[in-house]
Amino acid sequence: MDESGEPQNAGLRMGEAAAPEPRPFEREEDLAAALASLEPRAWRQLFQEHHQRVYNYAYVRTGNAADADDIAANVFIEAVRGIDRFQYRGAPVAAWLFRIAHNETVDHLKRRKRTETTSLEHPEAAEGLLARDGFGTSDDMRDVSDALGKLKQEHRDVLMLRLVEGRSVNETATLLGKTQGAVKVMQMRALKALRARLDK
Amino acid sequence: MTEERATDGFLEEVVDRCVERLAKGESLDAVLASYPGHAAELRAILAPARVLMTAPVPAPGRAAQSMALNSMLSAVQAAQARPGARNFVLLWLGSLKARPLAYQMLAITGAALVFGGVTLGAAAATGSTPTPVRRILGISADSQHKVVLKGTIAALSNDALTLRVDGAAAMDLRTIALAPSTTFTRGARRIASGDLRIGDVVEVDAAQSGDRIEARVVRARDDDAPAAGATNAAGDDGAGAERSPAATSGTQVGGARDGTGTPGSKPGDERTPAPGATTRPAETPVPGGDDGRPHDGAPTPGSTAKPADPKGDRTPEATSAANATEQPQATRSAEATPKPEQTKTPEPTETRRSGSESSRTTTATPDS
Repeated sequence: MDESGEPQNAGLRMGEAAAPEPRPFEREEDLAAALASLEPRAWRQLFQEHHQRVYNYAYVRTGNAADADDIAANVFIEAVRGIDRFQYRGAPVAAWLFRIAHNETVDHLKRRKRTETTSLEHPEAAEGLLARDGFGTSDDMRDVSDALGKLKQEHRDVLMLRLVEGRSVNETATLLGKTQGAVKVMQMRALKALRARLDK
Repeated sequence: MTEERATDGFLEEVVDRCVERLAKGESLDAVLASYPGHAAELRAILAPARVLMTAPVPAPGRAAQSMALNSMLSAVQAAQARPGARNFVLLWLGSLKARPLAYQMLAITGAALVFGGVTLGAAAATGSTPTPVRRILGISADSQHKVVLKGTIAALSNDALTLRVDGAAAMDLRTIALAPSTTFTRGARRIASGDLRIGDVVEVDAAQSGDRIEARVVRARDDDAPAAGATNAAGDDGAGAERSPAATSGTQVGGARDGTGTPGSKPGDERTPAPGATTRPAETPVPGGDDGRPHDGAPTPGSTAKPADPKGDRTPEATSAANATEQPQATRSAEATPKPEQTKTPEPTETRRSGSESSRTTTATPDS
């Protein structure tokens, strides 16, 4: 771990640093309705606001930029295909999107695991596969990433928002549709659960 | 920083503060130094948090991001093209799932009442179910009945013909409106509407909507076509075979537009001439007409100088209710045709035509 005190996750705040896009749909329910009506503006807004986050999540889980790109693209396509089944019940659209991201990532990791198993029969290929992983041979990161994928959805979401994206408690509460106090409790429980997973 | 006592409910606050400090770049040891009594517990929790916070997440490639956006918008377009994707009723019903049961029941009951009320009200007012309602319910919008009528042309005008139904008594006449889309055939040939003659034996495919019968196809029998210039005014049953003085003189036969015509004609309905409204002096040679009939729009000699019908596609229709009432001879011609009050059209016997169409086929046969 880096104890230098220098923030290394510069990419985390790229979405925040970008010029603010106009939000045609300010209210979450309006956005949900427009998405259900297949309005391109609404889908563009969803993409602009959440693509980076979905990508970050996929990257943290896979450790590979190309995989994260594929997963992020598939998440939005699956969202379009599944919008008929989406019911807005007060929870942010982002939470629904992250469920899709989680499912896509799990599927991707399963596929990759099969590929890796095959590749292990050829040591050179396996070595190359590991080398192109962004995490390299960082066991800490791999372990934490795997443990993160096994957490409950809400725990995973809160850790992604607070730790990976560096969102404030207030922003996280807004995105998850919770109070700030609830976010702090969830964060605490999520960290304990993550620790428990790592200790297994 | 002073150590704070991490009690139940307060530990979350401590962890959150630690996370904030880590995010600002403080080292884990420096943060834990503020809470020496809970350092071990906090280290166990915050160590993996630190790993996540320092994960070197690169920015997604611009090309990949652009491709992802385009793929998503293409998927949106494809979804828009899916049938029923934007079906309002289904969307509305789908949105009800998120509501409480009582709300669902109330909404569905209310919608049923409004929908039913509008449907019944409109049906009562217009006599037919409104088109949008028919579409929603999947009911055919065609409320017309198909009828087939066979008989002899007793009268002919621009926009209607009067048919003496085969086998019926002289008074059994039907007035059939002619539409611009009506087609006319004689044998296998297609003919113009002007080629029809009084006395022609025809079979008419028509659509009946309420009292109105509108011809779709008029098929004249080829072998019964009367010779040019020798057409009886009232067809082949002999009735009305006497030459009407009015007809020969070009004077119109009365009752043409008196509104007391055959069933189906309404008072004042100028589209449906009454029986006996012989609008064409068939036996009078007319200049310019090689078939004994005038050219379109050419005035008939001896007619009451009524100019041609504005449509101009028929013989000059000198038909005038005023003439008819002013000239007594018109009633003589009317003897050949039934008096309006005597006119009684037999109730058609209906025979269902098998097939997918729900429309009825009515073959007009006289009551015995």
